[in-house]
Amino acid sequence: MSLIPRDRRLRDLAILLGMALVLTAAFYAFPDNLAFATRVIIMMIFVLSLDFVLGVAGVSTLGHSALFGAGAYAAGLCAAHGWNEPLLGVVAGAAAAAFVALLSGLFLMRTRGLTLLMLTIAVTEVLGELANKFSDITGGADGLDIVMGPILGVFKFDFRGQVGYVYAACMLLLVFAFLRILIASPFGLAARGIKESPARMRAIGAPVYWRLVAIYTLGGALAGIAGALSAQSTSLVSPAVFDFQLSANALIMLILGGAGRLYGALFGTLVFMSVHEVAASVDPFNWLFIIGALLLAVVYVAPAGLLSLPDLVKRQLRFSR
Amino acid sequence: MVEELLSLKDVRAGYGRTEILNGVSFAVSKGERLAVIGRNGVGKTTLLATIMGLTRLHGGAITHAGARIDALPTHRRAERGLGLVPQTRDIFKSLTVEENIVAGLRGEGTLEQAYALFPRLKERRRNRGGQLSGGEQQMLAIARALAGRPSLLLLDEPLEGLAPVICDMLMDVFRRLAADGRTTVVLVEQHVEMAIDFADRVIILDAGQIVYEGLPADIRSDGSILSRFVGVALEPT
Repeated sequence: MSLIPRDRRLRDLAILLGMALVLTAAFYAFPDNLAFATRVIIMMIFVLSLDFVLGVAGVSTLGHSALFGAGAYAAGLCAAHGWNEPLLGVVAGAAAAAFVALLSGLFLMRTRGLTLLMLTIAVTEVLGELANKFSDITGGADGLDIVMGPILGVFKFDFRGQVGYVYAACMLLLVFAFLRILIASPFGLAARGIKESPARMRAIGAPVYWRLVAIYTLGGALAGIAGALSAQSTSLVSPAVFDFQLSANALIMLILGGAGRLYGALFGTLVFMSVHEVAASVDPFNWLFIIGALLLAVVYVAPAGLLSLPDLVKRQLRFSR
Repeated sequence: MVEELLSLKDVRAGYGRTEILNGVSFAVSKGERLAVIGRNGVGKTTLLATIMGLTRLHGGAITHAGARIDALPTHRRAERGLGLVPQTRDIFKSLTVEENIVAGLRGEGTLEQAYALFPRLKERRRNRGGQLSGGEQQMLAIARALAGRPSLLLLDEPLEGLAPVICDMLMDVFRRLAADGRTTVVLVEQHVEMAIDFADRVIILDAGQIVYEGLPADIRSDGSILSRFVGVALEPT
């Protein structure tokens, strides 16, 4: 049952169309920066998956890169073994990350708070170490160099990154639309209910633990798609995909934009990566200072994220009248 | 013969190691209206929470429709047909009215049934739970519990803090629910008068034990019962 009223459905459709237009405009406006734009889009998918798990369902995690990495390695291994059709790689990445999320989720979702945070980091560390250890399969610290085939046997990845950009953009639109529908479904409703009060959800008959495992698994699949796209667009998979920094950055992006509303994930990623790009080119050693200052300002002024700023300003104006 | 829906035998329960209920035993028949009254802090809320599986059971047995449920997790009890309206109007404040009800839908339950019972909720269906008044929040909490089509409805002080006109309206809803014979109601209430008016049978709790069990008519005829166990007197009729 869809709980999205018709007017909101139309608004969502308009936003999706708007996103497609912006992505198309960016394609023509920044023809020499498509590689960076592709990275932003892939990161957006990753942060969207984090938003579903953390922002919507309230599952605290600092180990989301475990799922990104699992997806990246699955796509990389597929390509390295001759299955280099990109869409197949994405499916393999999503499946592998979902499997890792399911397996780890079975015990992670029995914990909460600080314990859960620590365990998610531990899972990532274990996977990173496994990627290092089994160098015969994973290429060890050097990683895997892969060569991707054309998408659907037709569209070859090009030097300028045009095909890669369009491919990632289509995936972003698909993931976003999927999440909008999912969040409005009874399953999504349960996720939001669990975030607000697991005890209340139990009292109305929801098997909270299994729902959380399912949410984590689904979020994992989406993070795996981002990982697979990342591997395909850079033609490289290394243990760096399991970096704690990746999880932490994704969390900062989500906080910047505003958690729990999907749009915040998109906006936060765009702001973070743009500021990072500009700041790092101006001062490659101290760019983190700018990001830190930005995060402090947002958390202080608009704790619900940058997307809540218009509401805050409106309220302030009404109050000052 | 009247079919027994719920029974508690020598139930001892509480929070952690603290025991609040000290050997509570009673049974509720299908379609019956049972009121549980007592002073503050005697274990009324704990009793409902224990039936729902929200406390630690130290001993005893809870049976629903002939099957032991005391080892079942809370969500399985809800699936079996137990519905709780908690004292704190535990609605989801970030969800809309409609989403709150849908979250509780199960089996044959529909949104329209909820709106037929509480037309006010239909008017406010796009509002978030946190934007409702106290009375509307209570209606929503009840509608959400009923959306699961419970055979046993546990109401924990549903009239607390509400205006008299809302109290009357809610009591009327409870009466209509009980009258169709499908829903058995256990009502915990501080408004003793209203509880006794509503119930087929009354239980008085004190210090985690049942100190009196009887008919409303007996309580009405013997004014000492209430004054001794609850510390109140009924208005003369």
